[in-house]
Amino acid sequence: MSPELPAFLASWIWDPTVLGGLALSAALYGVGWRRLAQRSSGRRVLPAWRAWCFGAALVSVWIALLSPIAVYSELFFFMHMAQHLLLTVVVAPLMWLGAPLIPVLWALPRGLRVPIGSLFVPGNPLGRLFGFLTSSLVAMTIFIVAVGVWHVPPLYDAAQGRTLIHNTEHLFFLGAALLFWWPVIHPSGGKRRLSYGAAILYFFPPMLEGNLIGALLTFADRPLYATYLKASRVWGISVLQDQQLAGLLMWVPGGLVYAIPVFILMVLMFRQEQRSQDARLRYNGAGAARPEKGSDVAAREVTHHG
Amino acid sequence: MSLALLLLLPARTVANGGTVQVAGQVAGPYRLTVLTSPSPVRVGIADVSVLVQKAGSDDLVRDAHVLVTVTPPGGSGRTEVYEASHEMATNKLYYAAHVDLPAEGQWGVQVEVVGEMGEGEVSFQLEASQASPLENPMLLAGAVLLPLAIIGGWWTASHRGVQPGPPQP
Repeated sequence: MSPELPAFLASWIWDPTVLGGLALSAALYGVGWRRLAQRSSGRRVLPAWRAWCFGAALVSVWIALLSPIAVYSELFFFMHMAQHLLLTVVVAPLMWLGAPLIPVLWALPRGLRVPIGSLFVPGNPLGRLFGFLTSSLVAMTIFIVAVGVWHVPPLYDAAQGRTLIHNTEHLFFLGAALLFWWPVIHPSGGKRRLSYGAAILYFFPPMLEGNLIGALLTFADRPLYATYLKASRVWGISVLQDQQLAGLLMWVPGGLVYAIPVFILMVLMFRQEQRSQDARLRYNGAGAARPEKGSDVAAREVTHHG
Repeated sequence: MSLALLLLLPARTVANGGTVQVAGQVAGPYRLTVLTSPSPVRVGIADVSVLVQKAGSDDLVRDAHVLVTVTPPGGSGRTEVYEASHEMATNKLYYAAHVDLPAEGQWGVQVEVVGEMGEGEVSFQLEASQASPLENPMLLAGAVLLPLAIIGGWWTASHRGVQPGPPQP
């Protein structure tokens, strides 16, 4: 076995601060979860799968920031791409699927919980700001701009090796991704901002952007980023091959990741259509009768919000 | 907010990345790449990471003896020698040493490699400067959280006792 594989597997970052932050986040979620359960007399306020999603999000952050992927992202563009994809299409949606806002608020002492919670009530300044940033058009635009801008070669190169700028880049990616996924996953409950159909359409611009950047990187005939021209070459991968791998990663798996929520939304939309149809049939007194042939499914009004 | 801090905090701790000081320079039978972090280098502990490859190929040399010598600015003061090792490195392909740069200025750094194939060395200058307050995560967090706390406190205080809905008869 090549000695480089054990070296890769052994290359983890030991950072007590980051690990402590992850542990604190998990503790806050757990404490809040328990308090909610106690207040609701043992009834489960949030289903268990949400806790699993939040845990998976924290594990994904750990992998993105502290695993060999993070360490080797300094040497390989495709590793760096994997890191970015983890943050934007894995951590962000898992985080919202975990619905962390309520449990984390409930973990705080009452003296802090009420004032902090009230800040984000719609109508209050931060609530209005947050509402604006998570509106579908604004969130999608911010996400597309963040991804596009940070892949422009001079900006990408400027961020490498300059630690604060580099981590600001990661913060932008994750922040923009969290905004992007909010209207789709809708973790705060209540009225949905996007119907299922609109949410499906919502994914197409970033998917197209990812495909475009991925294709550009895959088919470029020269290295585009000075960072990787200066990086040492190991594993027998040339700088151009590294760039092509990064492009393929963004294009294929990066694009497929959007296909999963699109598929889920299509299933949810179909089920909603079925329920509406069943309700209409019951109301019309048709009972279990089958619908008339030639009825125009598309003409039926779908109850949706946003 | 805690997640944001998580992303900013690793800035100081990721080694074997950082700034390329020597990029694939041939030194005797070896080809050396030397990186330093943090970026930029600050007064205090800095990481010097060395990738040793065979000259003329990408083959790694994993069993060499690597020494890092740092000379204070102006040549005054004591020269310190550190042994770089895979154990000290985050990326185990590298040899790394944590060197102490207790003063600002241009430090002289020499990297010497001794192995079965022979010896090689490279040298470069390394500028160490005082850390900016922006690089202190606690200060950064305070700069962000304090205004939010003030706004929140003001908002809560100004709307305390205000009840929504029509006035009671």
